[in-house]
Amino acid sequence: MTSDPTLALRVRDLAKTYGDKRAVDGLSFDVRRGELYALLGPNGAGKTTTLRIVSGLLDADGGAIDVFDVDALTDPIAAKRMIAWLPDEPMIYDKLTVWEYLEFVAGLWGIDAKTAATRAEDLLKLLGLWDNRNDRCESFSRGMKQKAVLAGAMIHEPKLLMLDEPLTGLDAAASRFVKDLLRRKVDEGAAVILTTHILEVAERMADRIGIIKDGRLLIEGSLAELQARAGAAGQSLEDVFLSLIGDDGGAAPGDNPAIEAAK
Amino acid sequence: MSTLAGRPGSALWLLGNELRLYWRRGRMGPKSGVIILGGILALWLVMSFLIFRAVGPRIPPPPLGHESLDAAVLASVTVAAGFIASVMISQAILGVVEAIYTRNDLDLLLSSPLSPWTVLIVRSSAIAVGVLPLYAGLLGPPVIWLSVFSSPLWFSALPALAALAFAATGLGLLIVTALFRTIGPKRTRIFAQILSALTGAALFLSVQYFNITSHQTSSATREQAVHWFARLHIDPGAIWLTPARAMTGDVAALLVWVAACGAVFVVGVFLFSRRFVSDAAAASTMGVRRRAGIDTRVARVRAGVTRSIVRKELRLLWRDPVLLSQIGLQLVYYVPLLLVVVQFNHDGATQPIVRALAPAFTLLASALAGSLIWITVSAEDAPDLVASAPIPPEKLERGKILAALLPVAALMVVPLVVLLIEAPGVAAWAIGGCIAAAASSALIGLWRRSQGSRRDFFRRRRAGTLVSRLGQTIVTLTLSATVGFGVYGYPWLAIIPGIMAAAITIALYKPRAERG
Repeated sequence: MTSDPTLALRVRDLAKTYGDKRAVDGLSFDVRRGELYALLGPNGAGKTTTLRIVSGLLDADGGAIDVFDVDALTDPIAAKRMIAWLPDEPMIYDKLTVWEYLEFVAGLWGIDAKTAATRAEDLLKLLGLWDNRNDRCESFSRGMKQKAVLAGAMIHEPKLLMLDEPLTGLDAAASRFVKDLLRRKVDEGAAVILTTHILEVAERMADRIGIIKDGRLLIEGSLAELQARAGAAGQSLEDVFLSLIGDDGGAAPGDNPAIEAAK
Repeated sequence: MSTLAGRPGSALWLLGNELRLYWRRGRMGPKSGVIILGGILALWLVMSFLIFRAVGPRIPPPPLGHESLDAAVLASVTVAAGFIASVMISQAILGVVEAIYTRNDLDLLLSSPLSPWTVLIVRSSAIAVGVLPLYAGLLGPPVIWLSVFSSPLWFSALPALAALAFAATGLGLLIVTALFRTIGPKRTRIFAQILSALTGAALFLSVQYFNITSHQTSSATREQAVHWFARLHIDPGAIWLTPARAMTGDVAALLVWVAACGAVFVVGVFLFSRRFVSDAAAASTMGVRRRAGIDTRVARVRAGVTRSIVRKELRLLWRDPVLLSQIGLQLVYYVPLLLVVVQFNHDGATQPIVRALAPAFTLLASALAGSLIWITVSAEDAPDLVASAPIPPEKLERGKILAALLPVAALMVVPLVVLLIEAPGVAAWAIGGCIAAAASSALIGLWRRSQGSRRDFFRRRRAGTLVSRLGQTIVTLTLSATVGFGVYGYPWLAIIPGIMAAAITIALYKPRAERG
C-alpha cells in the first residue's frame, strides 16, 4: 500500500471466516492520526473480530493492514509496539497489585525500569489509583479495574489505542473520566478506535464513525456526513444507525434503500 | 422443549440437568476423551469376562461369614472399602467446597421457586454420583461377570458401593460445615483442600508406613501371615464387618448398610443446607481485602521481558493458596520416600530401597512439573494482553515454562544433592529422570494447553483435558520405569519404556494453530 503520513491505520479488503460464516467480508477503512473513530454495528457485525485482527490476536484470511506504515500482517511485532488493545472485559490479574500489573505490562513492551516507574506513577496519579498502588486488584471495583487496565494500555504510550466497549459497567464519573482521557490522547496525536453500543457516546466523542454489518462497511464519515448521506439531516445517530441496519430483517446492504441512498 | 426426564422443576429433572453439566464439564471432546474412555472400559469388560468365565464357577456363592477364612476375606474387603471411602470422602470434600466457593448457577437455582432443600439435595446427590464413575468403572465389570458366573448375590457390591458414595458425600458435607463454623470461610477453603488430601492419602500412607517399618512382616511367608491373622480372632459376624458383608452378598447387611449410608447423607445435607446461603455469601466476599490505611511504599520497578513473565507467574503461583495446598497434596504421597531416606541414614543395608529413590524422584518431578506447567501455560487471566504484546509467542511460553520449573528445581535440588553425595550412581539416574520428566511435561503442557482464566481453574484443574492428563500420566510412569530399570542394572530393558515415553510425548504434539 502507498504511504500516507496522515494515516494511523489503513485496512484494506480484510476478510475472516469462521466455518461457513464470513465474520469480516472485504472490509476497508482508514483511521487518521489524532482522530477518534467509532466502529459501530449490530451484534455479530464483525467489529471485535476486526479489531482483534488489527491487534494481532487473530489471523486474517485475506487483506492488508498498515499501522503507521508498518505492515501488521507481515511484521506483527513491530505493529504491536504501537498498539494498545482493551477488550470489553477488564482482563487483569486479581492476585497482582496494580503496581505489579503495570510493572508486568511495561516489561512485556520492553520499557526500561526507570521510565516504567515514572509512567506508572504518573498514570496512577492521573487515574486516581495512586493510593491503591499496593492493593491487589481483587479488591477493586469494576471501575477501578477498568482504570487499571487503561493505565496498563497507556504505559507504553501507544500511538493507536483500540477499545472494545470501554464504558460498559462504568458509573457516570468513571465513564466521564475515560472519555476525557481518550480525548486527551487524541489531542496528543494518538489515534483511538472504539466500538460501542451506546450511540450517544459515539455521537459526542467520535470525529468519524464507521457502521459495519455482516463484516462489511455500510457507511463512514462524520455525523453530519452520515446524516446527509443517509437522508436523515437533523436526526440522531441512533436514527441514522437504525435506518441503516435496524429493521431490514437482515437484508443485504444492496436491498436497503437507506444504504443505497447513503452510497 | 425440555429434553430432561421428569417434570420440569422436579428433583429428577434437576438431577438430569446436574448430570448433563457433569458430563459436559471440562473440555473433554467427544472425539478424544469419550472414545478413549469407552475403549478402556470395553477392554476391561472383555478382560473381566475372560478372567471370570474361567475362575467364576470355582468361586463359592455368598454370603460369607460362616467360616474362618471368611473373616480374612471380609477384613480384606473392609480395608479395600476403607481405602475407597477415604478417597471418596476426599473427592466429596472438594465437591462441597466447589459448591460453596464456585457459585456458578446456584444463584439462579436458589432464586427460582424451587425449594433450597431440593436444590441442595440434588446438588449433593450429583457430588455423590460424581465420585462413583472411577470405582464403578474399575469394579463394575468384574462384579457383573462374577454375578453371572458365580452367583447373582455378588451384584450387591455395586449398590453397596453406591451407598458408600452417598455416605462419603454426607461426611464431606458435615466436615465442610464444621470447618466453616470453626475456622471461617477463608481458612476453610485451604484447610478443606489439605484435609481432602490427607483423607485420601491416610490409608495409603499408613499401609506404606507399615510396609517400610515392619521388616519382619514384609519378609513373612504366606503361612506366617495367615497364622498372624488367625491370632487376631476376628468374628465374621462383627458389626464393623457389616459394610464388607453388604458388599459380598449378604442381603440383610446390604439393607442395613444402604439405610445407614442414606441416613448419613440426609443428615449431612440437612445440616449443610441450614446455613448454606449465609456460608456461600460469606465465601463470596472473603477474597476482598482492603487495607486499613494507605500503603505508601513504592516498590522498585524491574524490567526485562522474560524476567517480567517469570516474576508475574511466580507471584501468581505463590498467591494461590488452593494451588499450594494441591501441590502440598502431591508431596504428601511422597512422604514414604522420606521414610526410606531416614532408613538409609541409619541402615546401610537398604541399598535396594535407596535405588527406588531414582524412579520415585522422577515420578515426583514429573507430577509437580506437569501440574505447574499446566497452570502457568493454560491459566491466563489476561490472554489478550499477553497476546497483543510485541513479543513472539515462543518467548512468552518459555517464560511461563521457566516459571513453572523453578519451584520444581527448588524442591528437588536438596534431595538430589544429598543423594549425589550418598549414592552418586543412583543420583545420576534420578537427575536424568527429573530432566526428562521436566522436558516431557513442558512439551505436553505446551502442546496440549487448554487456555482459560485462572478464576475458573479451580474447576478445570479437576476436569482438565483427558488426553493430556492420560498422556502425562503414562509418560510419567514410563519415564519412572526407564529410570527404575536403569538404576537396578537393566539399562537395555530401560530403552523400551524410554522409547514409549518419547513416542507418547511426540504423539501428543499439536500444531500451534490447533492449540487451545
